[in-house]
Amino acid sequence: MKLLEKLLSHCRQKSPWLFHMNSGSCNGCDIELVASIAPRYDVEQLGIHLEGSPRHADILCISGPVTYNTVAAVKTVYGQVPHPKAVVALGSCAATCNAFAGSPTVVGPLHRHIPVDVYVPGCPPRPDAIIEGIAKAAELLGYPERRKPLTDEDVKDIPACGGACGAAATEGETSCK
Amino acid sequence: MQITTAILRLLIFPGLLFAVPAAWLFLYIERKTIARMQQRIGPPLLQPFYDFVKLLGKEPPQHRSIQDLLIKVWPAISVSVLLAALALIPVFPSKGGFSGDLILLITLLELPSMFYMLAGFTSRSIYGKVGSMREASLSLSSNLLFLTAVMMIAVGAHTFRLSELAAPTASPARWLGLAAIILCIPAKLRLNPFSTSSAEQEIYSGPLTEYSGSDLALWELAHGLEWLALSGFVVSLSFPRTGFKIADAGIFAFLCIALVVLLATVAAATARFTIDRSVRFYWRWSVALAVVFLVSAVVFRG
Amino acid sequence: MSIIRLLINNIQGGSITLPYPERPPIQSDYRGMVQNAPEECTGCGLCAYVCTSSAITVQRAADGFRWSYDPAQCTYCARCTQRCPKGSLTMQDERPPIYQQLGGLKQYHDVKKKKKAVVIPPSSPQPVEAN
Repeated sequence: MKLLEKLLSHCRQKSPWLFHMNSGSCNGCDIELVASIAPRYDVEQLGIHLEGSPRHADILCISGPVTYNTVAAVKTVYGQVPHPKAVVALGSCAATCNAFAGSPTVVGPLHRHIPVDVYVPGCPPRPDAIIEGIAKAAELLGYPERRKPLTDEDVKDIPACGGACGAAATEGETSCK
Repeated sequence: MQITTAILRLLIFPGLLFAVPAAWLFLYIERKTIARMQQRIGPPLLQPFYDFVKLLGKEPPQHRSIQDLLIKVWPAISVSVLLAALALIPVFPSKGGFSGDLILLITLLELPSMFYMLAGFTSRSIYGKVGSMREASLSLSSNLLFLTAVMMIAVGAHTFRLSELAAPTASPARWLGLAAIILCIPAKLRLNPFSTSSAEQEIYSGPLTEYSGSDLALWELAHGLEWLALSGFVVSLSFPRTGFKIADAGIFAFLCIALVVLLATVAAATARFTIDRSVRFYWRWSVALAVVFLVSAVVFRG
Repeated sequence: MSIIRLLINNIQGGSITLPYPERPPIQSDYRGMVQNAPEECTGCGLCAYVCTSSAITVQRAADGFRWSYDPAQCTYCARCTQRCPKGSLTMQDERPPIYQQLGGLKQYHDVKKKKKAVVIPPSSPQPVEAN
């Protein structure tokens, strides 16, 4: 069965299907994602296909800080993607809340709600950076044991809001200013 | 047709063992042609194979009701029906057949789109229902043209037997009928400009929204087999056989691939019609051409 | 029909795709990650004051300060670079890389100020300076 497993993981890396979701973003990252499907950057050379339904996809690309209105939708869509899956946090808003940190309608960066595998920072990230992020997530799909889940060690010095304002950059600081 | 011939044609050539890699090849040619028309590189050669194996390895959805088991039936029946249709296609027409097998072939070619519709109606999503309604209206309108064209070809050749139809005489009825059938193929395959029933941007992939894993792999395979069956059907009725197997097979393959490239070019060059516009297109052509076909079928009867 | 002409042009033109992993060239005034030169930074904190997304923070202590920056928080608006009075902040071509660990791109540097010794004689009055 080793040969079958190798074949399966090779095929998973070579054919990552994408589903894109916008959880309250300004659409800048969405436009750059669509630009990466255009002929100049052409993600189809890697086998990536933008799908219409989360049940068809392997990689979930989410842009935007998760707003209060979309947090239930984000969790539902994450549950609808069948295993094995990878999540790419697209843009600075999904990685940290960028300029929207501290807003009453923003419920925090993406990792507070679903496990994230690859962060693609940038405001907006360039299409070649997005393709690199998706290719990295596709590589992780082939070897699921290489995906690093968040451990307590990773989150111990991040305050409850997700470290949005950068206060956690100093050692020993756990409360916001 | 003898039982051993039937089983050989169903499983080996042009059945399962030959048809599945050929379907992958046709899917690759379609995607690569569309990509080259858009100045892109496009996917590598083995991409449909990678997609198929990856989809087989996905986690199967949990079964909560009998409806989930029912949903699994439709793609399996689609694939088997298309394999049976492929077994009937007269690539080498002297290999047997039976009287009236054109009727059986047309029936088998109609079924996959019906199962696509049923899949949308039995899934519990609203997008499935909308996509299936669109597919139903489109199939109703394009089938009139398809069936009258096939009838004209058959009546013009005075036979319903595929092996006799595959030795064509040079008649305008045959060419007009084949052109009309080629006009209907984009609606059956859900290609642009008639791809409105599986419109990603509008209805989240329509009837197949709730499918995942191995069922989706079978739907993709059914799409590839449908390409193979429809182009094989058109090409087998279109050129006179030379009698040499190798030459016949070569010309057959070349014409099939040429048809795929032509339809993929049309798909790359056009945008998606809305459902009312596509239905109107087919009804106009259908009414006009159906009158022409029926009159010519009556006139050219010997 | 113009679509046929367009298709013929597309086929003759070949593919314009950048094959992965080739990347396009960056223009000269690209706003990439913020870079700080520690020897010129005085820790005034104006960059943190004008930062739109609180990506830069300056924490001052008795013996120096810490300037910290998170490229994943940054909006790349260049307000800090415009405001810096010493010109120690620049935005270069370096794009922020992808990362997998949370907070993987945060960077900071500490600057320690040397203490200056001030000598005051004990009993003589302070000289008054005429302005």
